[in-house]
Amino acid sequence: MNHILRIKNLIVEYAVREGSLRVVNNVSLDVPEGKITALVGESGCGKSSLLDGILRTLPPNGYIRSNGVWFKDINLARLSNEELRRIRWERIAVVFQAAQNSLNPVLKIGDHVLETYHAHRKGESKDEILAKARELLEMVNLDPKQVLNSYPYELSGGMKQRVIIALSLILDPELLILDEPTSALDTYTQSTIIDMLKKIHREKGLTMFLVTHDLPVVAEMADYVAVMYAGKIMEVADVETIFYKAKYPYTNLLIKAIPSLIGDPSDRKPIPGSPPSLLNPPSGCVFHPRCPFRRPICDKKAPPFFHVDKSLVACWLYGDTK
Amino acid sequence: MQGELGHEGVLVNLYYSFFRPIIKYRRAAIGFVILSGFVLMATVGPEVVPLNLKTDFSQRYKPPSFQHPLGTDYGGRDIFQQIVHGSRDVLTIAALAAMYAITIAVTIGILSGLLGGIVDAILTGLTDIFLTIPSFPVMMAIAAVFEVRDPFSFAAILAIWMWAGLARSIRAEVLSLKQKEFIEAARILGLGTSHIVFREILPNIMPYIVINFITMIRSAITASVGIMFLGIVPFKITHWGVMLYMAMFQYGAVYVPEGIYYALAPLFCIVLLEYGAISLAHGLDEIFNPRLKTYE
Amino acid sequence: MIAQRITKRILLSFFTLLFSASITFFLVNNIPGNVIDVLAAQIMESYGVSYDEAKQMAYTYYFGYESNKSLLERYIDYITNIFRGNLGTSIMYRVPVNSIVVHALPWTLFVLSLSLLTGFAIGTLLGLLMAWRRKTFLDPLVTAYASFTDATPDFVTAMLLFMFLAARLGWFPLKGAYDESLTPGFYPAFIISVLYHAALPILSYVIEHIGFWALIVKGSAASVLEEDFVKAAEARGLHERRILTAYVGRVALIPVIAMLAIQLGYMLGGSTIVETVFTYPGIGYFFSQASSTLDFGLMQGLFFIIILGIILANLAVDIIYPLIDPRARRESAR
Repeated sequence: MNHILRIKNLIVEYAVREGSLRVVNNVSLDVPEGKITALVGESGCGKSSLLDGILRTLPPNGYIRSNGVWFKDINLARLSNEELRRIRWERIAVVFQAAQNSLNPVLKIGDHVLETYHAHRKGESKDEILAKARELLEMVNLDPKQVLNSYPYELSGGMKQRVIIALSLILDPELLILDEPTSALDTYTQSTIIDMLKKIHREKGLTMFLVTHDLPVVAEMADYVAVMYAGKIMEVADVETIFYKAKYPYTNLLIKAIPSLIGDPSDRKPIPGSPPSLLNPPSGCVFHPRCPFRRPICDKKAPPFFHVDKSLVACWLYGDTK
Repeated sequence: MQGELGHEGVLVNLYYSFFRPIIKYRRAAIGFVILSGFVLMATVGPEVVPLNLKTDFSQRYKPPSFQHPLGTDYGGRDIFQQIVHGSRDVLTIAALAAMYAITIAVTIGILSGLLGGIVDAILTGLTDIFLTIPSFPVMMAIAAVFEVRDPFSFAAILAIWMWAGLARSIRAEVLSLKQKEFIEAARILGLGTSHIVFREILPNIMPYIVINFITMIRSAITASVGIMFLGIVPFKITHWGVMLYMAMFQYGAVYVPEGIYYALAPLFCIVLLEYGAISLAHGLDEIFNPRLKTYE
Repeated sequence: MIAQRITKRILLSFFTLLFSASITFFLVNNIPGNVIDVLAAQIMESYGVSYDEAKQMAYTYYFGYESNKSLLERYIDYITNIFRGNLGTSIMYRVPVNSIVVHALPWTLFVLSLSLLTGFAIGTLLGLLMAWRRKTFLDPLVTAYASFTDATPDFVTAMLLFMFLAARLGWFPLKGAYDESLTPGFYPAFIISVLYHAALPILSYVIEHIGFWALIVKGSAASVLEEDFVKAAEARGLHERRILTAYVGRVALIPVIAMLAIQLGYMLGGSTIVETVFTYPGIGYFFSQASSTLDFGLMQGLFFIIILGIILANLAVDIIYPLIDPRARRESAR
């Protein structure tokens, strides 16, 4: 399998008053080309910071270290700011969380299209660019004539989300990264956006990397799933395995915590305990304080990854404990 | 806002709510020290330092010496003595003006916020008008017309043009407090308006008032000295504004090299005093309204 | 709605004007004897008439109403006169206030607009740079400068500049708006002379205001920098310059633009001091002359002009605002 993105030992830290907050702790992850990969975890587990680590979009108090973030054969971690700028959106488009606030309030949607295009390519006329934008806006079920001439405040949240998704395709990127593309939207809008993304994936064969805490969205869209907990990736597997034969105790608990539409709502079991403080993470396996299958070794040594069936899982349950 | 205070006594309260935070925050401490220095100068100074206003032209424009720490003026009089004696008037006028203005602002702000309706509409309109009219020229004009000579009426003239901004903020504060549960609870308990105003609202806006008191002292200094600088209110000759007026427009101290101390001494004191007030106000603001600084 | 906002502003402006005019009326009328007596004495001296005649003249000539009319009638006469644009007469200069305004206003507008624009431009640039490039020497430097100039009232700056650059070193003229030996006109020597005479007044304002603008803009830009759309613009690979201008700059300046009118108001107030120090023949200079000589006609007329200036500046901001911030057009679109 070809991997479009290979993250090696990524560490993201924030300098805060209390000290250094390690939100992404030594994460290695490969994203297969042509598929949809989902990164799941509770809010605050470091998912969004992981994205920031890829294209270096951290706030000024954030620091990144890694042994390389490879996009195809380019090491993104080694690029100069200008080289990285050229890759952003042109080859890797990132749609951040709260995309509704991702548009400049004083610019029309059409201006957003044009400025984005001109930042990367020259030569095409304004009409050609806007014609392409119209096509994309139609694809996300928006009326191009109206939308291109609108200011962001004139559009609803769902419309803005779709505008951003259309805008993310304007340069035909090779990888589309979406952070919580359905949060803060009503359920109907959520499902239309998911359908739309699936359609885009089907038609363009675009590789997508989806970050979410919303497991039903994952079940519906993803081919592969990575589970993140307290700054670490704990399990990686295909979507079937994750939902039916997950190996990592946290993954199973997470799936049981989904409110099921079909089953009895009382089956829903929230995970006991609360996520650990990233300022002072637990020793050994970060999940051990909440883990029902805790063993003596768990609070002493962080587990390495083990291959178990189709899963790659970091849990002592599957290691020889000697 | 600060937490509930115990009842250990006023001094202990004062220590915990006022002095300790000031020691902890450098900026407020600097301001506090500067202001305290000037207050000391204004209160004790004139009792300790004699004032001799007899002119002696042979001593004209002397540089600083042991005998005259800041040199002498165009009439051979000691500048240091004038500065010390003038500080009392400068601070009295400023403090009075700030007090008057706070009283007006608190009254109008609370009435406007609490009563609402037509009273609020009228008071808000009045506040807007007072905010639009440029304060300095109108203070100047009124001071000139009334030919004020005493600190009390001068302070009142300043205060009339200083309250509007604070009244507007207090009104907003009262409106937001009105939504809060404890006011609602007090109202349901039938505790009456005076209880709500004096026990619930005033303590809540107190830090705000303290900070504004200090910034108003500072604006009042700028305004009062500015008006005297233009020679409109011929106050005592020791008032810093009058000293500047003399140096600038009357005796030409600014044109001769030896006159520099006479012009610079009051200028320096004014800047230092205002710097102290600004620092204390900003420092207190940091203490009372700590903002989360994520990017430090 | 914009129309509604502007209507409200015009209404407020009208009441402000009315209120100010009423203050003047009150000052003149409700201090029994005082003002009219002073005036009458001045008229007696200047025109050599009897006291009663002088008093009569004081009323009719300088305030535009008969002394035998009722207070209300006088008030109405007075207000209509002012709103008709008849600002009264200066006792000291013995000319209508209108003609003084015509001569003085251009100088004040010239100096103030140049100062406002220069200070705003430099301050804005510094503020944006401070917000954009954190942790450089610029931030502590400008912050220290701003807190120093904040503690320095207008008269301190103006007096220091006058004392050192004009009186002592003689690099700049001591007074006036241009070299008296030149005939006013649009030719290089005259324009240079005008700029030369305006240099120190302009410098006084600019020195005072750079720090103010820099801190305001920095605060506004710093909060815009934390907005999601700035991060999103970076993710779209926009050039840094584009983000700084079209994103941070443009959005951050919107709330700041509204302060231009307020600042102009302060400057008009401050012009009384700055223009007096440099004997610069603008509105402020004549106003402080009028105040110190109790030239009521002139005082009242110029005061009216100053307020009118501030009201017009506010109105201009209200009209310009929706042009620069599409969100302000929101309600009218719905």
